[in-house]
Amino acid sequence: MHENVVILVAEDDMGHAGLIRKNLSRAGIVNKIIHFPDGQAILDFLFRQGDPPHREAGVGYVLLLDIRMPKVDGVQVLERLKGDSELCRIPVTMITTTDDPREIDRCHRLGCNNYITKPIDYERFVRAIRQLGLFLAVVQVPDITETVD
Amino acid sequence: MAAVNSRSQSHAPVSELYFDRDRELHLKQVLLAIRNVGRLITTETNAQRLAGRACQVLTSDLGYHNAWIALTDQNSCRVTMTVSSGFGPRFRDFETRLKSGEFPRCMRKGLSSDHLIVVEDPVAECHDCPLARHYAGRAAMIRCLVHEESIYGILSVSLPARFVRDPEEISLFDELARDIGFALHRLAASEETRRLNHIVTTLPEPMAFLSPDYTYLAVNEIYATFYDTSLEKIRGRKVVEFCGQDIFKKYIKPHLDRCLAGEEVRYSLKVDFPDQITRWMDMIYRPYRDDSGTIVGVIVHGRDVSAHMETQEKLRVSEQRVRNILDTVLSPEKDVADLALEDVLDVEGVQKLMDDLYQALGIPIGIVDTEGKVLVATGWQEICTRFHRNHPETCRNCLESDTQLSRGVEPGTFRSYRCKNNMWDTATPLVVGGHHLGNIFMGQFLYEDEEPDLELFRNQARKYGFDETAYLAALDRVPRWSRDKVEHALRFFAQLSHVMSTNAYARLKLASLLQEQKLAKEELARLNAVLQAKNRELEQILFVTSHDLRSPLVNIDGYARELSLDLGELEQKCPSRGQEETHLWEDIRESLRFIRSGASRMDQLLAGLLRLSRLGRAALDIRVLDMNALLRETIENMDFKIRESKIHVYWEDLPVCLGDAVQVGQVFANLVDNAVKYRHPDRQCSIHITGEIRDENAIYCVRDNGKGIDPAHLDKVFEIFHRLEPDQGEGEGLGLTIVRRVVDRLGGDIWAESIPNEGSAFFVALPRRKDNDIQRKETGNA
Repeated sequence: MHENVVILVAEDDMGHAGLIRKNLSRAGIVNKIIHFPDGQAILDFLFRQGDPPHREAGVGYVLLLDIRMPKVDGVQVLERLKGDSELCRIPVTMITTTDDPREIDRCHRLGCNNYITKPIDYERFVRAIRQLGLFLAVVQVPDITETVD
Repeated sequence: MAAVNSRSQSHAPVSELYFDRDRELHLKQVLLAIRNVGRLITTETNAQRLAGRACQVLTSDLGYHNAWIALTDQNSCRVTMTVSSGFGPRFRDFETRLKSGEFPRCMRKGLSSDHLIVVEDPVAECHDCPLARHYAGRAAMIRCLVHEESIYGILSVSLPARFVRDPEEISLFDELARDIGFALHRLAASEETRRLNHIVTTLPEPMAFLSPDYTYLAVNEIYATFYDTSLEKIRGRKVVEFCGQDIFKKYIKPHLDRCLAGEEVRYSLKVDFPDQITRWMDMIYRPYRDDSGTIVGVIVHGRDVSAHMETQEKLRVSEQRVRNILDTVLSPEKDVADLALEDVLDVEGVQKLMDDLYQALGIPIGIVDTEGKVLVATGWQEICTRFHRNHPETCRNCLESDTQLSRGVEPGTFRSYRCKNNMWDTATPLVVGGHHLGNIFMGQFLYEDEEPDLELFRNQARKYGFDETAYLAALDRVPRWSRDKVEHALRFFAQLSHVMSTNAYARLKLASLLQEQKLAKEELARLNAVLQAKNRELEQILFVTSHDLRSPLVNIDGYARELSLDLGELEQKCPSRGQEETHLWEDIRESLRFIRSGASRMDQLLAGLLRLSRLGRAALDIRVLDMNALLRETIENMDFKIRESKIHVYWEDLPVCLGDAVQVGQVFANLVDNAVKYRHPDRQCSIHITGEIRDENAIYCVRDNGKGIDPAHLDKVFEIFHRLEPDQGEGEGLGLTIVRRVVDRLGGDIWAESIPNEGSAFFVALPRRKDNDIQRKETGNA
């Protein structure tokens, strides 16, 4: 995995965010992680609106997106991103408690790259996070606004 | 040609003495002519005659040499009539021109101004006018005949040219034209009044003009006709003389007084007119005011709305009848007792039947309701129709006989009696729903073996003033029957009336039941809709809460695991510790295990709840299901578990049903799973699946030889989260709840039978045909 790729985590539950961070690091992923407490915050970052921090040019990003969030929910964030000609290239992984097939189908149709349900079975969760690490490692993460390599 | 103001001053340059004498003479002649015209004006009633004679008068006394008048229409575009005097046949050419709309210049000018037009020398000035050459040295004066802006025509006279500028001449002519104009105006106005008068007089709706003391000042023809009198006879008389004191005081005077006080009054009134006709009148009273605004009379306008009212009344009666029937049918508390016989009996149909019967057998029949109203009648005897029913007293006898003597006869039986007019009659009751609504009468007749008491009938004839010979002849024509024939006929009619009554009652009852059923169905549909809405709401709540509950669980389990991982790391870092510490470590580990197993259990429950809620929301795909194939597939999917536990599953040929393959598969998987879960520890588990068709359903039975269920708990097995043995196995206690939910949605049913220690049987009923119930459930959830 490119070490300069930044992992964005949009998750309203601080506990979940912590678990994701711990497990990514336990899986050996050392990339920079930025946490956003709701959908609006991640949109502000990516679309460079409101207070900084803002997305930087020349940096590759991946997004881990929770669905159920206050203000703007994950599906809306996904919709906004996939509707933008540049931001649509950011890989998005939905991480949520919902395993409703219809919701999963909806996210896939909107263009999410991966979908992981938050399992209580911790081993499975870790496996899923590891898979995400693997996924991040093999995906050519595009660098927005500037060519990568 | 010049327009000259009548006030303009000018003098003729001729020898004054001669001129004065001449002038005086001419003015006298003109004055005479004007006086004669004035006389004409007061007596003549026809505009054309007036014009014609005025022309003659103007020239006969040599006032003017000649004269012509053209009367025009309102727009003065068209000449309606011309008259002339002094021109003779020479006027004809000119007249033709006028009538074809070709007006000479002088006339065009005269019609368009209120001034006198003078043509001093027509011969020299008017080349295009055929009349001009006949003026021979005389001048012409032309003026339109006008009054208050209304133009009625044009007047032209000729006079010696020397007078034409004489102001007195001019003013006299001016006055003359004005007088004729006014006369024409008056005649036109009176013609209009006459026309309006004619309209009112011949109006087909009665109108009258009343004075404030309720006297007729004028009425139109129809008004007089209504009171069967003439216009002359009604004028000057008082209203009360025609309508009578009662009606006048009660209805007419109060309304007239309100009108005289200034109000426009409208009301309806039923009036008995002298021509024996009762009419419904819509009356309008309008106050009539004189120039000063004082009310000096009332204009009465009546409209005969009898036809309308009759139609309304008929409609009301027929509506009432329909309503009665409907009430009886629609409301359980209403009963047949509230209906009249004609409401339940097909009067027309029965009448035809009886007519035919009379033609065939000569048996006279009447059907009369309990009020004495004759509904069906055929073959009535002349003695009844011509005599008894025609005299008020004997007619009352008839009615009393029909209603009183026929009382208390048992349904299906009959009674023969001598009617109050001494004829034989028989009656059998029509009883509908236990209520006596009327009777069938057979009569009148006389028994063969019984000679009528002629003296008695002669007395009756005398008493009631019947023509004795005709009456006795009618008596002679009354049918004479043997007692045997009467007996047979009566039995027939008793039976017939029983059949008719039963039919009528059955029809009403049926209609009433159908209505009840309809109401019940509507209520059912309403309740179903409410239930479905509630169900959807519950499923939504279930969905949202189970989601929100899962979120904290992720933390509880996640951090509990983090703790045990941290604990492991800590152990590695500090491997040596005392016994007490080891104890503590174990305590912490055990706590963490409980936390994690609790979280895991809760997760299972939530997953089950989510599945249940999803089940309720998922769209159904209803098809005919091959249950043998479906079951084979289900069991194959469970193969591992079944082989592992050495379960014997077998089934017989199963009937098809309608359902959603996935969900029905789930039902059987859950039932088999349950049988495996609660198998008897001491014997091999055997599961036997059978199916049969019962009415509209296919009923399947999953029977096991397991532990069985205590009958006391049998009802609870389908309840949510109910587990009979919480300690055994995983299971979230939702299996049977899900099964019941699925079966409900598919329009089926599920129930269980069990004997403890021998085994349980679960029955699943699923529909074989697509009925409304399923469709509704489908659309409600789709």
